[in-house]
Amino acid sequence: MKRVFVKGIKGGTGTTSVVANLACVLKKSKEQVYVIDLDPKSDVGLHLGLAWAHEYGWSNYPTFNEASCQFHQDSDGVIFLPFGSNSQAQFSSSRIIEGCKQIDNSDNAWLLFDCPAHIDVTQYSLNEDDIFLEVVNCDAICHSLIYKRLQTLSQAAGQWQHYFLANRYNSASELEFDLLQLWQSEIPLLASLYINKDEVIKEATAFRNVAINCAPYSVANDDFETLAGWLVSRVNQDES
Amino acid sequence: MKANRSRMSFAEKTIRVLLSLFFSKLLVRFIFLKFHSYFNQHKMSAIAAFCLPFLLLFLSLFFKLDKNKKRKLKSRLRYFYPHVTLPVFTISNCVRIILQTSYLAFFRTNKASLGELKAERAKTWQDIKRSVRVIRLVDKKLVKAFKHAWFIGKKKSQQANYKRISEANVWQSQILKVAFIMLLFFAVAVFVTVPFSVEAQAVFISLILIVAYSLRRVEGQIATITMITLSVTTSTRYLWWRYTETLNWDDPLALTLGIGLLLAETYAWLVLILGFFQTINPLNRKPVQLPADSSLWPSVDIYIPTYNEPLSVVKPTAIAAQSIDWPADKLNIYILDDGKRPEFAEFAKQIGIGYLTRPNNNHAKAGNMNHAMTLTDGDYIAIFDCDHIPARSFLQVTMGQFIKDEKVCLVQTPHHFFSADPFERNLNNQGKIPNENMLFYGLIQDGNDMWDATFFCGSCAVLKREALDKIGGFAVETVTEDAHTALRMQRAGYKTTYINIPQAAGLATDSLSAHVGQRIRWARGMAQIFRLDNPLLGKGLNLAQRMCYLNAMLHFLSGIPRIVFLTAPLALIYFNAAIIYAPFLAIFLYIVPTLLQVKITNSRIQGKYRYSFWGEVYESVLAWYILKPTTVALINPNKGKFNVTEKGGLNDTERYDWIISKPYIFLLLINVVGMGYGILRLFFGDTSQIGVLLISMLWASYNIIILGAAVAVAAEAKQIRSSHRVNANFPAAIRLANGHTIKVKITDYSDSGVGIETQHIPTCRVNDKVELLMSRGLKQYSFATYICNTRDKQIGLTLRDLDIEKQKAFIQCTFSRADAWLDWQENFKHDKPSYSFSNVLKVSLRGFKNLIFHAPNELKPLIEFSSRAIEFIATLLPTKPKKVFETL
Repeated sequence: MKRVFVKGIKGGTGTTSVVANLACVLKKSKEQVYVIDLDPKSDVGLHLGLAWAHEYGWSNYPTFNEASCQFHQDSDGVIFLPFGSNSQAQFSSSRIIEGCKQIDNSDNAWLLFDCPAHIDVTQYSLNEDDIFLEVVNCDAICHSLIYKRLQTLSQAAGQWQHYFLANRYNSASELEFDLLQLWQSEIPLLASLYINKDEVIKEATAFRNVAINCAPYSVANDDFETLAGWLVSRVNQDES
Repeated sequence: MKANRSRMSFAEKTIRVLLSLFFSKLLVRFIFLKFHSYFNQHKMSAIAAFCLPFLLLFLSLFFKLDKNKKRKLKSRLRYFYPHVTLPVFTISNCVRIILQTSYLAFFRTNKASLGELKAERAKTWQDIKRSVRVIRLVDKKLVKAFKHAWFIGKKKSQQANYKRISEANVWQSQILKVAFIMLLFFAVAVFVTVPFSVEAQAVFISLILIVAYSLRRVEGQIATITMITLSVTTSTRYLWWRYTETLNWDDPLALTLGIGLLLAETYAWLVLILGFFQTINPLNRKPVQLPADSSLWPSVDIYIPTYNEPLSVVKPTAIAAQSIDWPADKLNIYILDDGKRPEFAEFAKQIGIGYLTRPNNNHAKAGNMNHAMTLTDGDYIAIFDCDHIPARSFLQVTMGQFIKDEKVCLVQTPHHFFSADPFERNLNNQGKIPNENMLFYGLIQDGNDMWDATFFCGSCAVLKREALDKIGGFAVETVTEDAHTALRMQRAGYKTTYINIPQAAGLATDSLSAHVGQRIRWARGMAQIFRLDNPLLGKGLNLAQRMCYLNAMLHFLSGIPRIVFLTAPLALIYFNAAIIYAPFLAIFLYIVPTLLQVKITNSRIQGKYRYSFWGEVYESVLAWYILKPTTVALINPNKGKFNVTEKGGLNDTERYDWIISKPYIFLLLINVVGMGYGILRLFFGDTSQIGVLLISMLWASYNIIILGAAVAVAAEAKQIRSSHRVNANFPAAIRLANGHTIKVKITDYSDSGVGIETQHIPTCRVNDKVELLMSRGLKQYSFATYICNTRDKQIGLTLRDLDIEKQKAFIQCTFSRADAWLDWQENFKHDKPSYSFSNVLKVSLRGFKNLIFHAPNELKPLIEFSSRAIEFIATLLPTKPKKVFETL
């Protein structure tokens, strides 16, 4: 089981779309993918074709076994579990993470968690095989947050693989260009790739779909493919 | 009007009444009808028109005048005389009718025999095709058999017994070695000198030819060496025969001309042998990896000497030099400006590179660099002509050689040109035929490298400062400072190396005259080196190095021999001077197979870098122009100054360079006239001479083809773009105004625009603003561009108003890419002589067309008159009867 946690360093960095597109790309390269929505916004489903009126998710059930009836499959075959409408969930997200270990025993399956921005990394019980992706945008707020995060991470070094992923990167903006260049030279934890800003990602949700399905000709498609490839290489590096 | 008609009708009525007294009503109508037709349509006089119908009536008493019969007769006449024009009775038609009648009388032209003829022709054609097929099949079988035999031979060499013998200690013995070499020389001497009868020669040469021909497709160096050995044997034998048997001592004129030709042939033979020696085993040096620790890397100065080139040419070079991958504290770039222009100083300051000038301009480029050496202190010096844009990997690829071997003082990389040179542009064959440069950089330099004799070519190279200091800096005595400098370093015991990986690209010369000017400088420089610092004499070189220098030198002396070859056959045609004094059959058996064999061997060795027959074209263009400077420089080496090759210009009109093509037009003219005279002699001359005459004419027509191609080059084609496009193939992206980002492939670029191709056709129009996203490593740069044209999936983008930072980024993403020039030599297929010949022939025809098309105004009426005259005469000739479609 390869577990990838994706979380925005702050709200509104585009985390959910990264999760949804990443899941789709992995699925298209014949990998088994599960997406678990840990965010009370419960919007992963909207990217993956779930009707907006659908309210139920794991939070509406008392136990994991009962909640597992809420697993859905999208048109590409990605299996996902929405959060649901009960933000005062009867059992915590850590229990659902635990519970997910039952659903697939194979080593090759991917488990993607869409984590809410307000819950800190340390709240999850991570082991050293896990990958924690923190999505950042190239702006000054994120810049300061990254440096704060680096301080806390230095204490927890080696417990899990932590990376920052630049999303919505627009190289035409001078500030973004300079910031990314700075990060690339100074932050070792920055993923060696970035997701370009692309209108298609926004538009895709209007179709209740993901960008790679709506516009395979777009750069977004390549970016997510690169991201998937990069994650595979991280996992393999870990194994070897 | 009305009155008129009534008057006419009154006269008519009267006559009608009168006539109706004698003739029936029908006949009266007939007479009037004919009268009107003769009077109105055939414009006869009224009386004639009136009388003719009566004549017809009278005749009808004796003949049956039938409309159908008349039509048939007419169509038969049209069938037999298809080219007779109307009106019939003109002088030219008389000639046509007479010729055609005699043709019809003496040749079988009826339908049946025509059909027979056609069938016969088809059959002949079939036969020809079949025999070509058979020849091909035999060729294929032969090649296969040889390949097989070769393979078995190789296999045998791996067997134990064979190995025991081949690895025995006996072979190490010095005496045995010497004995073998002696034996070899003896055998060659026998083969070369024994006089053969014509029959023996025929057998001997055809055997050798069969072996060489079949070996040409067998892979491997040994096969090449075998072919070279055979070529050396036959060509030496040929020369021996020429010296011993073919000089006519009784005829002073023939003797003089014959000796001239013989000397030219000796030159060609020498160049051939030296060329074989030079390229027998090209080294193909590979880059050496640098130490992992970059603190061990030496410091490098990059010199960009310039004199009068515009800033727009120097800019990309300087920026790309700055982007070369090397520790920044160990890389210093300097523009060496002999033009002393303030805008260059400002530009250098702006991008943060050095700018050096000097108080005088002594010794041109060499002096400029020597002066710079006193002001900088890098361990190594890389030199780029100001138009040569280096790839970022340049130093990574080259510097390893210095670290591997301390004695290395120079690493040269090929000069690659992304713009078309005058040959390529004017003949429109860039990328189809390897250009003039390719032979040198693709093969000869690699061959030189084998013998430690790599030449320094003035640009795209790294030199060791220590070695330069030892020989007192760049050599200033000659106009080709580069070759001379390398020679001096070699004399001082240093090694020069070559890596055949294009790591920079530049602009080719703009016009044929500039190109010729550049070659004149090289030729003069080489001649100067030979006088001032002769590589054959002097200390420090080994024999192989001397041979390589000798060949380079001889190459530039090709002027006189080439002109001798272009005029030699005329000696026999015009003066009946037997310059090769031998019977026709002997000439045929010696010359043709030897030439064939040399061509086959050269095609095998040089095939990827120089196509057959193109060498002659290139050489012919230059022959006249390098003749004088080399001769002058050989006599007085201190004459002649450095002239800067013009680059970065624009040919805005199509024109024909009459001045530069004068010598070839003259040569062409005497050859064409000679051919005409030869044809006359064939008909009216001495019959015993026909064989030799035919060979001479064949040779002359080959010369005409080569000269035609040389003439074709002088038609300067228009250059459409001010900046040259470089073909490319790498991914990028565009972001449209609506925020969509689309993957694209960059298909070409220049310093002011980019051509892209995309699978998804976005809705965009000309002048839309588009962001172009290109990556260099992890960095992505965005460039504001505008769409300038769209066609299907192709979109053209122009860059506008980039600031200096963006310009830098753009050059880093394009020209400076490590893979930018790598596919240069891969694009060419191996030479096929027949295909290549047809190409030269096409070019040659184009040359003739150009001559006529661009003829000066005074000549135009003459050309028009003669072409009309020819056309007219052609219409007089008899033609085959043509089928006529009958009209009712």
